[in-house]
Amino acid sequence: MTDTAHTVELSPRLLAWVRFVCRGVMSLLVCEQLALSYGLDGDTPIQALRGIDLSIGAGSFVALVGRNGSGKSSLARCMNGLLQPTSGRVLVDGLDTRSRSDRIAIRSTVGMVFQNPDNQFVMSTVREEVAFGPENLGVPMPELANRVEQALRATGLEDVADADPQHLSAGGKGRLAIAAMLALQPRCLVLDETTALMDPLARRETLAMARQLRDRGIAVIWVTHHMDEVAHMERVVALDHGRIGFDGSPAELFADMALCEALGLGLPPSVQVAQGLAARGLPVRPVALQTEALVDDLVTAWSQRA
Amino acid sequence: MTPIIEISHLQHTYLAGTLAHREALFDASLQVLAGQSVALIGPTGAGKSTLLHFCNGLLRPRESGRVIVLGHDMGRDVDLAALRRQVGLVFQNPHHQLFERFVGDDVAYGPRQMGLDEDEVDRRVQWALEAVALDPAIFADRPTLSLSGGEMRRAAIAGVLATRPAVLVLDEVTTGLDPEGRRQLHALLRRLKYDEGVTFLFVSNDLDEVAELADEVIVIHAGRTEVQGPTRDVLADISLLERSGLSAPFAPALFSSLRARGLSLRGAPLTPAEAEEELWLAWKG
Repeated sequence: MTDTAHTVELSPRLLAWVRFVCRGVMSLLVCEQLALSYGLDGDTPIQALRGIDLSIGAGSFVALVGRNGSGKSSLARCMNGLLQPTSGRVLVDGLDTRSRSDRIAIRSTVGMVFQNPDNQFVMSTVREEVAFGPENLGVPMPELANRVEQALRATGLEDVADADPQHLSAGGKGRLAIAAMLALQPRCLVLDETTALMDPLARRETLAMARQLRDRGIAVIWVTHHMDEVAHMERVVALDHGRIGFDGSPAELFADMALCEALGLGLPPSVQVAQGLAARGLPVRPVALQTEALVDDLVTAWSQRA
Repeated sequence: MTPIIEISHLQHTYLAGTLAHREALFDASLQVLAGQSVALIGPTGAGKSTLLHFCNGLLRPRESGRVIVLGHDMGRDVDLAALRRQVGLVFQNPHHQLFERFVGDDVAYGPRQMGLDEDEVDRRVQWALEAVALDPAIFADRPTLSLSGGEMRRAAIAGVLATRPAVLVLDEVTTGLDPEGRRQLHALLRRLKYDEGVTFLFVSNDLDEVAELADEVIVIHAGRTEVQGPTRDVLADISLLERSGLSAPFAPALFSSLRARGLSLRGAPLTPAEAEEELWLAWKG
């Protein structure tokens, strides 16, 4: 009798301790047989996700790709509990996203940045915008200021901290949306086509920023249609009609043209040219993920021929 | 040939005369000839969308400058309803364009407003949905709000196509489309251009797409149009692009790096396919 009472009293602490110890080992984000359908008042429900098994570790850099309507945004929104699974489950750091009491912990672990950052700004200066989230979670003062300054520094926004968010460039707005999430100290960031409306320089800037976050141990999940962006990631998860059609490295994916075709994906331009030239007998590696690799191969090929 | 759209020295300030005023255009000029496809490129905030909104009378010249569309001086009285039937504008954000509950009704809205009979409306809805690769049998009865981002984009384009405009003004319409969808849309635009003589003015942030589609390119930077010229000339001018806050598309950038590393290459490819061809020819010697 006393024993049971003892266990009940200790178990939440014990669980927290086990979670803490297992952090490095356990996957940060786990989807198990995740299915999601949208029922629209009386219309036949639309099955967006049909059994996704996925596990993402801390500090990984994952591209999430697939055709329009393949389920990318639905999956992204399941990752921090914005949408709840119809069946199966999503675990964030061991917490089930369906649990109401863990909602705050889950949303501060997994931050979301949407396509149009304007939709997510509410304050009148960059600094206030970054402070908004943690302030609402009741983060006390010296800590709050620290977090805001860190987030501004990490995103290179210190110089425009007092500007109106609406006056930032597209790249600046993207970075602000990320800074606002960073202030919540998430361990995972989900970027749902954040670069879609950006010009090429702003896109490149945001991608570089995401890579720095990954280097600091934050898992980044990057939803995109741009294959040249995918080439920079460590892992690609491609969705196909609500199922996982491919899960592996960009090099493996782009080496298999038939698979890319079947998943409705294109090739990055450097791979396209390298494959064409390799097929015609030029001594270049067919899967040139970056333009620089293709340039190196071509320079070597020319010098060896001469 | 008389231009379909001619804008000269246009200036525009949003909310002019109020505290919230914001200058968008300082000196913008462009010309689009019949049957041409012209791309407008520039960094975010350069004034691209503003300039497009002048082309179907959403904005009218109030300060200095002239806008002539299909022979109408847009600074004077124009029958806007008639003009918009000829000049279709697809917005950057499909949410601004879709408002009916079902996709089929949304696409039918334009043709119905034109007073066409229901058979013709149906034919056009079928054609337009097929043109953007949304199977009418599946999508016509789908609730608009159930569409994914890319599907909404396609539905918005179908709604404009269904009015069969002679001039299409497109604001970053391939944004959010998957690579397949982008290829299909490119093929559709080419078909409309070559088979039906449709004239295009479009904004795109994807310079590889501009290389595929445009006859001419206009560069706009900070409210001023810098240059209008043949696509090959403008996209090969890497220093101009960089000065204007843009980066070169893949093929010109590749050739410029190869030349910097000592390869002597002729030709100025615009697309990856052209780059491959040029490199193959150079390799064979």
